[in-house]
Amino acid sequence: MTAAQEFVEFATTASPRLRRMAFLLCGDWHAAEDLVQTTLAKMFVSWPKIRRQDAEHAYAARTLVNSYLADKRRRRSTEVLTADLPERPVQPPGPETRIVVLDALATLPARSRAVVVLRYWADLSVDQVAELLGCSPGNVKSQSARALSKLRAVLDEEHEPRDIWHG
Amino acid sequence: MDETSLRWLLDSALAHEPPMGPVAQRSLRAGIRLRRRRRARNAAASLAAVAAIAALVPVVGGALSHVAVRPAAPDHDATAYVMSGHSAVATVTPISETTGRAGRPIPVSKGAGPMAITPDGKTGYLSSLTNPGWVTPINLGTGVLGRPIRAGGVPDQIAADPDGKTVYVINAGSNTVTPISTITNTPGKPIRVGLRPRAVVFTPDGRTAYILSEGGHSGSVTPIDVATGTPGKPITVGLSPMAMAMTPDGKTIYVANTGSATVTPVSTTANRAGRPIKVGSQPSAIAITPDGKTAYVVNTATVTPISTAANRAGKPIKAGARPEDIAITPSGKAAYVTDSGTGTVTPISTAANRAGKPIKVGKEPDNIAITPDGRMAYVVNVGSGTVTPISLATNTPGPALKAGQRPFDIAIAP
Repeated sequence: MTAAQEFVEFATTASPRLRRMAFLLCGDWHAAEDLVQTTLAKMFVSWPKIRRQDAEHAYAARTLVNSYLADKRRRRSTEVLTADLPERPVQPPGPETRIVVLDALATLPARSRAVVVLRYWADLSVDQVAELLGCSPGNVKSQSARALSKLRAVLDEEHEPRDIWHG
Repeated sequence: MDETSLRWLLDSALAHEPPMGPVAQRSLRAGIRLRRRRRARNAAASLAAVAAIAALVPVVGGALSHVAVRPAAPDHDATAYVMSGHSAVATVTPISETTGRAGRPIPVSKGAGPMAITPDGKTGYLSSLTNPGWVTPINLGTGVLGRPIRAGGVPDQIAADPDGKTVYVINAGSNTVTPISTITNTPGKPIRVGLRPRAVVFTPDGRTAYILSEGGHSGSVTPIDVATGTPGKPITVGLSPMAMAMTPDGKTIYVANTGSATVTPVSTTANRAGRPIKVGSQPSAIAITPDGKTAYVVNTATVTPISTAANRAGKPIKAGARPEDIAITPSGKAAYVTDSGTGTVTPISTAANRAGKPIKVGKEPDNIAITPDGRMAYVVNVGSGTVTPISLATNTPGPALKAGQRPFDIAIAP
């Protein structure tokens, strides 16, 4: 099998999971697919090296997260960051959990969001996340604690019954 | 909220997952492009030190990125222009067909990328990969640069319309096409087209431009009224198309659908796609004979001839280990296919549809251009950073012209 064939095989198996991870990071399926393509294209450039090290999946996760963070940094100048949830005037009672979770994730800073996705969805250990993000395990712990308390606040507030028609 | 319920909440956010496009194949193509660009940049960086010498000595300086052949009457010798791609050392270097030598490089401050040449051969419009969005007009006779024009994002292609009044910049990054008036050298309003536009062809009357977009799932071809800049309804083709070619009469466009291993004929009179024609795996380049009778499609290891009268594929022709690009002589008697796997160019006789003896060139040859008089072909050797001229009368390669270390692309003027 040639390197290109091996790469395509890896890309085919890995892309569904990578796309889900990318979606949890950016909250948009199209952007997620673009992120996966960018990630895999970058991996192809160093494919012989990655293959020798036998660590494709870890490499993919790291490249994906870094591409996402780099993208966020680039867009900072044009995007208005806000801690407030977007208004949803026609929100029916008992809104879909999916949307509530995505809105809650959107309130987190990019790095904390990555920590949450890597630790609680991809099931990586604190040490693995620290290595992947290039920071200390202590930093991962404090980031996840802060992110969790923020998510809790936002999600619990959403789950509380409230008068949706008058505020 | 504990960790288990968070895990459950995150999973629930993934509900309503839409179907996925051919990401693996697209990534491979994007990866190949990225690798070529990186190699070109690295080579350019390592050559920065010798840039001063390159400007004095008549060799092609820097990392070569493109070759464009300046159109000329068939009885005149043509000039090929070689673009080098780093902001510090970017140059455009003419190669004379008469002497077979490289001339004095023209330094370009904004960096180099694909270049369009107006049909009169007088002006080049050079895009930039290092400073995306900038287009530099160059007077090719005097080598004097015009004021850089701000137009669009990362360019995938740039082409002049048949009357030379408009240049279209294809911005793969922003899903738009920016027209530039060559009379005033000012950019027009960007025109929105399909996702990831890749290429443009103009009808011979210059009225309509067709833009090929790779698309998210299926690709499309969007017609644009050149006079008004209004896009028409996109015509859906196959998966992840990468290349297209128009018959000389302008009536049909053949689109190579890299993802679905087919070629879709698109009628420009009805603006409708015909039945896809099955070809080899990953068709990625296509060329049509000047008489318009045969389209040649480059697949993973073969070239498939398609009869345009019947829209039927003929027997695939073996064409080396990893064929890349194809060019057909103005006489239509031969097609030349570069093979990056073996470092050769395979000539194909179009009468017999049979491959001839491979011509040895440099390492990883990629793009190829043939002069309008059909005497010479120029091949960009990505691996050895040179350009090999081939005398087509005898299929003999000339000595490689020094041209940086990692060239990666070639643009052929209309």
